[in-house]
Amino acid sequence: MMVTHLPKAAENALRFEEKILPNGLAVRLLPMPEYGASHVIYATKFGSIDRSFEGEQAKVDLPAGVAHFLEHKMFENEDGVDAFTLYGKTGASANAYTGFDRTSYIFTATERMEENLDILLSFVGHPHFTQETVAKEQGIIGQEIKMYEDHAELRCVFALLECLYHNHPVRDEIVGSVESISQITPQLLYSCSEAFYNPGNMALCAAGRLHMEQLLQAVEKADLAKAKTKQVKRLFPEEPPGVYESTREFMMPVAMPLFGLGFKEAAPQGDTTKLEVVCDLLTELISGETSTLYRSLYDEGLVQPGFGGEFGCFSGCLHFLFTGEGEQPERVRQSILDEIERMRREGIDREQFETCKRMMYGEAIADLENVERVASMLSSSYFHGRTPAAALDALATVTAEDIEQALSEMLHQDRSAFVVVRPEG
Amino acid sequence: MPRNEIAPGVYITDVPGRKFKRNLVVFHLLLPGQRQTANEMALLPHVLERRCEAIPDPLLLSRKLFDLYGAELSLESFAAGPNRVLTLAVSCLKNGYALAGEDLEKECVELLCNLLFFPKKSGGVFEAEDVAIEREKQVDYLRSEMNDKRSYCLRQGRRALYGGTQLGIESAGYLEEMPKVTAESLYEAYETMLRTARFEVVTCGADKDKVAELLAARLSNRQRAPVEPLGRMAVPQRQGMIHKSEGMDTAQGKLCIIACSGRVSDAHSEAVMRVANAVLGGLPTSRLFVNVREKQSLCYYCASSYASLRGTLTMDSGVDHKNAKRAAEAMLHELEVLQKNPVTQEELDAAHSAIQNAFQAAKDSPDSLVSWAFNERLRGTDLTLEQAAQKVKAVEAEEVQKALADFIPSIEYILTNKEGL
Repeated sequence: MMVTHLPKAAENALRFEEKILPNGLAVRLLPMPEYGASHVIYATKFGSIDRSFEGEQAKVDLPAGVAHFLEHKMFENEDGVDAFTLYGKTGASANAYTGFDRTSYIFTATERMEENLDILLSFVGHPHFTQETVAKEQGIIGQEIKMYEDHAELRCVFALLECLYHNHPVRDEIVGSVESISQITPQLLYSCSEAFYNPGNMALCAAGRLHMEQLLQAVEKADLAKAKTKQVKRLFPEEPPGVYESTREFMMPVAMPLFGLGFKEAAPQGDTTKLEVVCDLLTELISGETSTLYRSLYDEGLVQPGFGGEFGCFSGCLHFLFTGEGEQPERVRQSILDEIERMRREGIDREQFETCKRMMYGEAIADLENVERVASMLSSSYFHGRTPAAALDALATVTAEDIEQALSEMLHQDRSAFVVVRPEG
Repeated sequence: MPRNEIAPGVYITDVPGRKFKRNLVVFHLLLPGQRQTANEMALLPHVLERRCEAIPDPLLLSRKLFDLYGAELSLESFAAGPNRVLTLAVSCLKNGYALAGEDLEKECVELLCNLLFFPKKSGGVFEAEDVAIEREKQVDYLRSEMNDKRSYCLRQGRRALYGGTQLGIESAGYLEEMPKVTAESLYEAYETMLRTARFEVVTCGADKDKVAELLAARLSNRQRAPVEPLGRMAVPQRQGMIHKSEGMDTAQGKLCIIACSGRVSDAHSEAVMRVANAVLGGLPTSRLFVNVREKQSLCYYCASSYASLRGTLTMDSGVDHKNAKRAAEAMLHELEVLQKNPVTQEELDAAHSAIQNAFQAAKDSPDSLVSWAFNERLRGTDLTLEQAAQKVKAVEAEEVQKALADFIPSIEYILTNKEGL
């Protein structure tokens, strides 16, 4: 059976409520009344790739790691009581994370929802920084950076991104470096929070045992409905089409080599919904568990179980990364390149294509049983300017010919880079 | 939690899962851990997961799962206290979400039974090719354990403290011995497991009776002689702390401290330890997080965890090499303060609230519900989430202090570079 439509049960499961306030703040909710918990995300479209902008004042350039640094500092309130202490009284499980293109503040709670919403909406966007607290955080984040420096897979991925891109900020680690965060000052953090933590740039998304009325009342109470949206122009550096560096090797204390083969593609334009589905399918078809490539590399002992492909699609950049672990990285690289060429030449396996579509449909529906994933899907789709159903609609309509067309334009060796992390000694 | 015996030593428990989009069925096979078959038991799930008589090609098995709308299959083997557990789990969309009215649940449970009872064989044992491929993978996995420095440090700490005992049998096997596993030795361990293991089946969202019927049918022509799993045992207390350092050229040092109470918990002390761990290092408001990370800026992470099956309390941290000793002292200091003084009412309330919240949230995940049901069997406490929540609510400050006072720090293990050695 081909994935060409959504059954009624799936359509019902995707129904969500949305309210966009006059100042641009988006509020989205997928009620799940039979659940005990609710998950709430308050997010801003400000991530690690936002490194230069023009606001109401002059152009501001940021060192790597500012969005993540700001996320850490946002939890501190002026009265010295941090948000974790406040959540501690309600029992909510709270956290935050920074990605390439946004920062999200989250909590999961089963009771005292009004209080939890008040805490979330009062500390996010109302930061308090001093020289002293910024200096203290530089120490803590410095330790976080060191922890990632020992993470061989992350080192491999970011080395690959550094090789693919000349200037695009996606090449820099989300947390920045010890050197880059040493340039952060209270003033810089205030500039960023003023520019990006305002209603037109933010969304409040929730899933679980909540009503839209509760969310809107919390927004009203936090005076967010009256807050003004500020216009910010994001600036990205010019990025040449070719890769910056085609190969790189370095050593770390690991047991066996890690490797990554990356492909840089033309920067995406406009609505990327279908493009992302196509890229997702391409990585599955080339290197997923249903591919002959994966099976042969695995059974020949050339890769470990974690081998696979992924893609990244952000403002001004699109890339594929195939990463894994194994004793003969160069052989794996050649096998991937050969397989891509074979698929280009012979066309894709229609049966495998339909099988992968079914898997992606199943995964998307399975995600709808989890409050965290549903809220995250509401947030992610909002910042991409679409509904949660849009990706499933795109999946239903994508054809094997679409994939072959993409394959003729993408994944070319002359725009690839290869990184190997070798064991020390 | 209601539990039915469907055959000698085969039990089935159903947890409510009507609201979920997926069904989840997990077979847990539980038997006493044995050092001499540790490698076979570690390798077994990987060989079983490759293929079966009905689907004799691993690629076709992967495609079958994708065809079942991405049904997820997961086979694992791990040590649980003194026992060994092999789990076979399958989750799939509920039939209402199938595009052509397929009976996904039936196909998935049949597949699980096929993998367990009808593996691909040659000459009466596992296919030599399957064993060779997966054995090599397991050797590589064991070689790579140092890649994740945090978990490596924790494992090394445990090994140094109780590695040679029944509780120290390695979940993933032993690097030097794994190459000696053969198709014959693996098949023998498999047959022994099928004959002697206790089956604890947990279903969530699936038709429990149909699962029971299918499993009973598969077991009906097998000779079974179920063996009782071993009772829980604690890591013994020792006087005087072991200090160990291991050199590794990393950007950040890793540190763990394991303290032992010398006894495993009952339902009440389990609840007390949940609160105690939350206050010590389980929450962002905990002593370790606030005092060691935030106030002293000594590390990025600093947390604690309690292992009820072993009676151990572990604190671990990622630190600058030069600060490792200071961080260890600070962590031990926090434990000592809690051993000598009652926790504040504010801390107690925060721990109560956070745990209640976590218990409530666990009811929203099939995986959490199934894990809870099985872990309660392992702990021998057999409480529902609601009953456990009630017990936590009743925990008082003095009980937390008293419970923590029983723990003696037994080992400090540091992973550090030349600067820290």
